[in-house]
Amino acid sequence: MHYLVLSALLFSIGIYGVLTRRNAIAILMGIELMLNAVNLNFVAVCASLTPNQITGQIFAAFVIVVAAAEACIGFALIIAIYRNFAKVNVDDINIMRW
Amino acid sequence: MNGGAVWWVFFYALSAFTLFNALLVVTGKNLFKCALHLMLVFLGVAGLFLLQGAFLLAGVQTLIYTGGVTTLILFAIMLSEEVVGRQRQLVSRGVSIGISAAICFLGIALTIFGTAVAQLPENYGVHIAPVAQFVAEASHLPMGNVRAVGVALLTQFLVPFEFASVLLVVAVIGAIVIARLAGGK
Amino acid sequence: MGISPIVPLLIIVLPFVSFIICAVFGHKLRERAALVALSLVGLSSLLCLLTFGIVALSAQPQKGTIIQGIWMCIQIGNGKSSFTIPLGYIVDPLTSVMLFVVGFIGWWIMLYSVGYMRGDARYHRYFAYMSLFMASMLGLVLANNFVMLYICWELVGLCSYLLIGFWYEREPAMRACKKAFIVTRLGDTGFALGIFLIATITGSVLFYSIGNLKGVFTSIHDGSVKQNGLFALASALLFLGAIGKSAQFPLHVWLPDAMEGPTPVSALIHAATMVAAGVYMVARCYVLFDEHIVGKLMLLGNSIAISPGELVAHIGCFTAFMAATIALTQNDIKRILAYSTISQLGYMMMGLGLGAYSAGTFHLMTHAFFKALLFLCAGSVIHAMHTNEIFEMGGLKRAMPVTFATYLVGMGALAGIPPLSGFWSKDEILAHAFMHNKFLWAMGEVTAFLTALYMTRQLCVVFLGEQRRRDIHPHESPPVMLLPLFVLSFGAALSGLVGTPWMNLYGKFVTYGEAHVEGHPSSGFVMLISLCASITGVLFGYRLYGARRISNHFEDPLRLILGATYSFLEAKWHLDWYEGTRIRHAFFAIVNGCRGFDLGFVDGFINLVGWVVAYVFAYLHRLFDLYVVDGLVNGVALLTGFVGNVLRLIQTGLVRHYILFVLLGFAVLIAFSMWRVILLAHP
Repeated sequence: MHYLVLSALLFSIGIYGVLTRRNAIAILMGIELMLNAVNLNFVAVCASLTPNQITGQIFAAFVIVVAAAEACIGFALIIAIYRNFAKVNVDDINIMRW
Repeated sequence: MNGGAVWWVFFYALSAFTLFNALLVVTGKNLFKCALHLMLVFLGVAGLFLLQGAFLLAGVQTLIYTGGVTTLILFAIMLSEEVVGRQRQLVSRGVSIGISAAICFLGIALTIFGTAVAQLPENYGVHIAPVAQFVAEASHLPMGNVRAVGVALLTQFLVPFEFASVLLVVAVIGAIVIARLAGGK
Repeated sequence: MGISPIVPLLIIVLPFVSFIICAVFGHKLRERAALVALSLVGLSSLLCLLTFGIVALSAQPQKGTIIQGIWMCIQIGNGKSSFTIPLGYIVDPLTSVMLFVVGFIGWWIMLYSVGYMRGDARYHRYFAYMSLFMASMLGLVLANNFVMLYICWELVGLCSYLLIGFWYEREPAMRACKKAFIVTRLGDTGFALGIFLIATITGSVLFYSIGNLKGVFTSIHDGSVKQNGLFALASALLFLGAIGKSAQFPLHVWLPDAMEGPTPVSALIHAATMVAAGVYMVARCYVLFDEHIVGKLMLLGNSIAISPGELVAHIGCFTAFMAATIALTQNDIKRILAYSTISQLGYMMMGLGLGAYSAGTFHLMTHAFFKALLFLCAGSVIHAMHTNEIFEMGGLKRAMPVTFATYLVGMGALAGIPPLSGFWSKDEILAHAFMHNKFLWAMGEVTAFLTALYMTRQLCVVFLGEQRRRDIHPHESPPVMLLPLFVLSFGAALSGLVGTPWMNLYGKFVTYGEAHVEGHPSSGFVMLISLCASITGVLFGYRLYGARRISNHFEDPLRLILGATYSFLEAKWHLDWYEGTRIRHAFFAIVNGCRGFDLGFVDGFINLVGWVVAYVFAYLHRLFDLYVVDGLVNGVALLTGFVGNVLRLIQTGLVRHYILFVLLGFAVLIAFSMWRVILLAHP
């Protein structure tokens, strides 16, 4: 219960960061927070519901791997965008508009 | 209850540390400092993993997040912003939307947990044991055993494991390609 | 010794395979098509020779050897009304001789064609047709029932049509092939009717009984089918088919025109295949022409009673005489040979009609050799001179010595100079005629004289004297054409020796039934008269044409002698009714009438119905298309456009808004699941 509350709080802080920040790097940082909250949840739920199994940890490990890949690509994109537009503020970039 | 009290002390201390740093991450004015706080959040989470007996995960968290991702973020900041010089406005105008969304989500989540946890066992999510004993026991438990995680990864979860490695390779190559192509323009 | 059923099948199938290959892959094979055709047909010919050899060696004297077999039976209907058509083969002495003639001569003619047709644009197609021609003729010979005989009979007709019209760009060839097809079709109609009649009377189409399948001839011969007047009618109808195919009066008109095809084709048609089919058919159905068995044919309300055999003999005799006289006055080297073919076919028919079964078929065989030889020689000459007019040739003896020598052999055989083959077979027929009917015999002797005369005329004009046209430099033909000439000249010279009056091997071999064994009626008187007729003809011809110089056909000495008769003969007795205006015009009037009726009334009615139906349906269809189909299509497009216009409003391009939407969706999902949990907890 305590872990769940902790992870929910961490997740909410991450959402807040993602929604309020204008800088793309800051947004990615918020996403990292959210991913960490999720990992905490995985481990805690697994440990209490099935104490003799390690599936939750394995899952958390995969989440870490995917997060690393995501961070890698995300920052590469940010650098690419910065080179093309000389800015990283997402509000100023609206080329996805129709 | 003695060991349990120590555990709880550790738990609350780490939780407070993590949440405090997380708040600094999302509210700080200096992006560079934000990144450093993020690093501390990662360390805190690693400690919380330790408390759950997930030794391997704690190590991985420390190595990859604290060592790798934070470095990556710092490099990205240095490549895209003048860190030391001008302070840019980091917070956009949609603060109220963000806050309301976060509080709304938190409320919903807590409600769910309240509903769901009512059907859970009493000591759910808590290990009541002295730390030393806990550590000694945990090294024999399958869930805390580094060897057990390694065996599981290379037997039962071998295919996802290999897929993950392929994914990493693709991500690395893709990142290089994206960054280089953009630079070539 | 027996013959495996596979051998006759192979004999037919191999040339057919060649036809398929040459027809389908011809444009790729090009020159190699000849190789394919020659090898496959050659294999078939070897099998023919093998069959002939087996039958000849195993033949018991005075008794026909019949080897039969059935490949498959076609059952039509069932129960009491069923009718069985057993498709199979029959190999008896007659068949084996025909196999030998067709296979052997046919193959040499094909070899000759390799040289003659070289450079032709449709080279491969020629060999495809030739292969089909061989396949159908061999099938005709091997057929053991009337249906298969008829099928092959028509296939032969088809092939002759294709080959006569091979150079279809040329107007005369085009006309000639149509003429050949239409004229023979008249006869074929009679043939088909005859077959129907026979099938109705006897309930079978099989020739000879096999097992429990009873054969037509067997049942007629042993009297198990009661004789009635219809037999004679059936045989007369069958003979109509032979008249068409073997170019007897009055359906002879197609054969002279058939020379418009390539010369080897003429050789094949005149010698081994097409015209032989009619004679062979009469010989095969010989039971039906026997007066003692089928009785007489009543004509004109019983006022004239004539046996089918007599009918055959008289028509044959008249044809022989008429064609010989016409041949006297023709100037086209191939046309002369064509009329001589008609004349010789008349001889054969006369022999068969008079009961000289073996003599008639014997003449068929010898004639096949020397007529093939003569046509191939003529082809060689035409190849060198590029013209058919004999009065434009002359003096070819020096330029083409081999052709001249072989031509001399063929001409001698045809004219009846002993000991060449034609003499013996013709003499046998005439000897029979002398026994049965003196008038027919006399006509035969006159025809023999005329034959010798016109052949001498041709030989002298073409090969002797001076060359009339100086602008052409004739040359001897290539070896591939000369080799067949050599081979066939040996055949033409020597093949008669198997049927001399003193040692009639052929007559003992090819016999008709046990009761009808015939020897060669050795008559020194007839032989002497025949010899005299031939010699006189040759000498007379040489005196007219050999000694003096003739520059064109107006100076033809015969014209001076015969006067008005010459013009009558030159106009072919005014008997070429196909070209005659009145019959054709009447025919065309009927056809045009039918066409007008068809166009105006039948087509008009159909078009009216079609128009009405089409209009109504088109109108309904248009309405449906306009409102239902188009409506659906336009509706979908409008809907899509509208939804797109609405949805584009939320596409701001800002990442933050997208994230917000994601979260809102997530919140909705969670609210939904919460609602369900609450519902579960408090139902």
